[in-house]
Amino acid sequence: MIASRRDFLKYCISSAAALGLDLSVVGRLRQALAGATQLPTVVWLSGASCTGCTVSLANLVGNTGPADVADLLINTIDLAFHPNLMAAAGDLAVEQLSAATAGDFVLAVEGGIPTAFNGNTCWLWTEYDSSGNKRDVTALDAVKRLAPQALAVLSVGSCASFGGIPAGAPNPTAVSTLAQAAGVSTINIPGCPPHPDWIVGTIAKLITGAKLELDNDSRPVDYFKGVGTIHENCPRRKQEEAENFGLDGYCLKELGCKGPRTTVDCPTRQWNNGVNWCIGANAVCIGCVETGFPDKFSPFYSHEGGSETESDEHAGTSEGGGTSEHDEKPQSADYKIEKVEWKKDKRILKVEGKSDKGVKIMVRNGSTGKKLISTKANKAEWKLEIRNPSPVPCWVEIEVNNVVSEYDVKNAPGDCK
Amino acid sequence: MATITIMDPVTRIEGHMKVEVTVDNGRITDAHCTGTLFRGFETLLVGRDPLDAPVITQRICGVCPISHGMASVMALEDAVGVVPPRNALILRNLTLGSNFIMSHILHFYLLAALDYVQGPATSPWTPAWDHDLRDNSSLDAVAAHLPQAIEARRRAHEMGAVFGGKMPSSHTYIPGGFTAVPKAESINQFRTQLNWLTDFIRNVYIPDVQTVAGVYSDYLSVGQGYGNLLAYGVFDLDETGDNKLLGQGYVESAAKNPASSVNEQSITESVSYSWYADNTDNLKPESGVTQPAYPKQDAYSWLKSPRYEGKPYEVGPLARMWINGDYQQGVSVMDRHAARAREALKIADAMNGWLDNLNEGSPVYGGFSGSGAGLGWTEAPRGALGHWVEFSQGKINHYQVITPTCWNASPRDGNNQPGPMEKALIGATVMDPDRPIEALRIIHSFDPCLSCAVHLMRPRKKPLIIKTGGCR
Repeated sequence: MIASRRDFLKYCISSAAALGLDLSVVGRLRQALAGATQLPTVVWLSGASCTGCTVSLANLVGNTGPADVADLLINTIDLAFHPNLMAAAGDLAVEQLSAATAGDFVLAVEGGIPTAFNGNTCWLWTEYDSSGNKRDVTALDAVKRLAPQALAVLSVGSCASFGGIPAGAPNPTAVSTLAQAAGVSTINIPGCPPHPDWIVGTIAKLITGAKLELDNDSRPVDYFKGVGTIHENCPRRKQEEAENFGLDGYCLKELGCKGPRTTVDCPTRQWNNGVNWCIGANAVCIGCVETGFPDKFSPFYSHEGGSETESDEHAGTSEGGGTSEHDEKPQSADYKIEKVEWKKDKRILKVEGKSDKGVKIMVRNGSTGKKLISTKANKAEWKLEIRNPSPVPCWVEIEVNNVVSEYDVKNAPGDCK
Repeated sequence: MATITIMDPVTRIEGHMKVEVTVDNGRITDAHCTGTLFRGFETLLVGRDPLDAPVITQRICGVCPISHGMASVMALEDAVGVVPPRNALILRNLTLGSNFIMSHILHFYLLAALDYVQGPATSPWTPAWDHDLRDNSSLDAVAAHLPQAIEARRRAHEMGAVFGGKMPSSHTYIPGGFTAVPKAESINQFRTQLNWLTDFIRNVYIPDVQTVAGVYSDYLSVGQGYGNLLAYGVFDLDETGDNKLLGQGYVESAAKNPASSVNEQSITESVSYSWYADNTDNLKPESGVTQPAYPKQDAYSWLKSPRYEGKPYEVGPLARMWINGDYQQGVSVMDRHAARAREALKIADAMNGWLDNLNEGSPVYGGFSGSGAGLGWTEAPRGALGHWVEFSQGKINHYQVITPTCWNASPRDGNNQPGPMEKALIGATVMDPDRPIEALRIIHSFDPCLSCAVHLMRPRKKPLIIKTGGCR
């Protein structure tokens, strides 16, 4: 099962398109691997996780065909620390971690970071100070310490990326995203779980040192924002809508499918070695790769729930009028939103944008529908401040000149709604 | 002189765990198991649509999500008295069976085997505590099966995705039935994988477990624990809920005449050594209260201690196979591995028959509506799993989960009885107190899954007292 770097390279070239690698990247990969004297070290930590991301990654591990890739990566990177897979336990494992993080390393984290009780709902290992006193190291301690030292930080899965299900209301253990907890920028590979190709393709790009193009949510555009919504690419899009469960071949929108609001390549990539995908089994999309999941999409089985009306209308326009299906946020034509950010210290929600002077602007809490501000653009570049909104929105609907779009609130707190 | 060794992290398990053993004269004289992660799934379910519960509870665990989906739909259906169509029962069993096979293979080859055989000479498989790796060429053959086992695990997931849509985590489990419909093509696709996997289990997995058990035969008398075994049962064979491939029951001290029904009223949860308020000790699930108290004197785990008739019980494949008369050779580290492997074959063989019973064109969904309180008892690969739910007007009012690892890895109770895993550790001999590989082997034989060990927490506000249970 130990494959050579040459095999890995060959695999990447043959699968470049599938992994979203362009040929120049493969060229750099060749160079990086040829010149490397040491395998790139990866340290994998688990926060408030369910291990589903690791299990999903393992679905690419095998000994035949393209399923070799994770196996190859495991043997092409130096996976120095992974709590579920490593042979070493206890002190020997902690020694491994110390050695690995003394040099250059990439940090991958699965699971969000609990901050309640000072992080004491999630301990990762025991360490000793110079006097031999023992101390439980929390996930919060660990990522604060290690993330700033890492060459790159990967949030693997929706929990590390955006908080995920454990951060769902009322966020019982005050789970924070990895980026917020550690105070660093992360490359987010969301999904509950993420597809193994998304993880592997991103790591492959990182190894080359190639620039990763990321969307507004720090996700690689190759797999997420760049590919359009699930609904746009769904083979069932033109089909009649199912009105009940357990019927084959219908569009599932009426049952609550969140495909219209979810941008990811599941329809073309498929899951488990191409066997199937959620909608292929007549199961609704739950929007698991998006910020605000699960609350933004819950109830999962309600076409009225989860505030998806706007996107449905948008998709409807596309079907009927033939307008661009990929231009989800009409930023270039009429207006542009520059910033939607929560300022924790001042408790202010900042919304900044550009439009024609004098147009109407309205901001609503995306989950609750509560109107936060209604005003007119006083100049072409405008800045709005919404003081102490309660609850702080996870995402907002912004209506400018009667065109509605949705924006996630940057740095939204763990208890946003 | 006694030394205390802290194993933290305990690796090659699901989730976060720390184990402390006291070693005196080469023997473990005391052991404490600590669950070190809590997320509070039960509280984030309150107020949500009941239909969301099978989706959300599957994220309790990425290794056994399907068991949680199954327990959840069973609890919801129990609450309103709905019985899903026969096709749905079969499709659920087939997808759950795929998850069992995936999990058992994953456990032996990726989690447990490295305690006995030399893995590849690269991280993450090296370094290891290798001072008691025995030199035997038959073990090398087991190690050489690792690539094939990794393929088998992946194939088991691909099989599960045929009807489950994707694995891990499937949204095809809905109260009232299942979403995917059986068709000749998908049945064939499923059967092709199943045949390959059945072959692997019969000709590779089971012989490999026998090989390891032969070389490490001393482990047939290590880690026995109490010998108290309990199962809720799993894989309904018809609509009555009474006939299952692996039925429910319990025995004390490895007796060979199991009682055939488990009484929900005999379950209590102790919190004497858990970070929960002392006045909530020894309550039944139906009247239980979960009130976090951290820090707390003498407490050392976020796990509560479930007890049956006041006694600790071990759950898992050995308990299921023992209670159903399929395996009663002994209770030990190696017996747990052997029973797990044989159970994989028993399930695979049964699945082959279930495929024949699928009926193309018959419904998979029978409708679901109403309110009520219900109980869903099933099994995860690592043991008995229970979900309790109460909902009205489309909102969940209460949700409670008791997981297998809560039974196995529980701390001491109010009578100072160690949990089953702690009991199994106490008395074992240890070669090197700094590297207690023997303890790791005992722990791994239980296949612990700590992410499953969920209980309710409510930080940043005053502790919330939530009435748990109240079902049935």
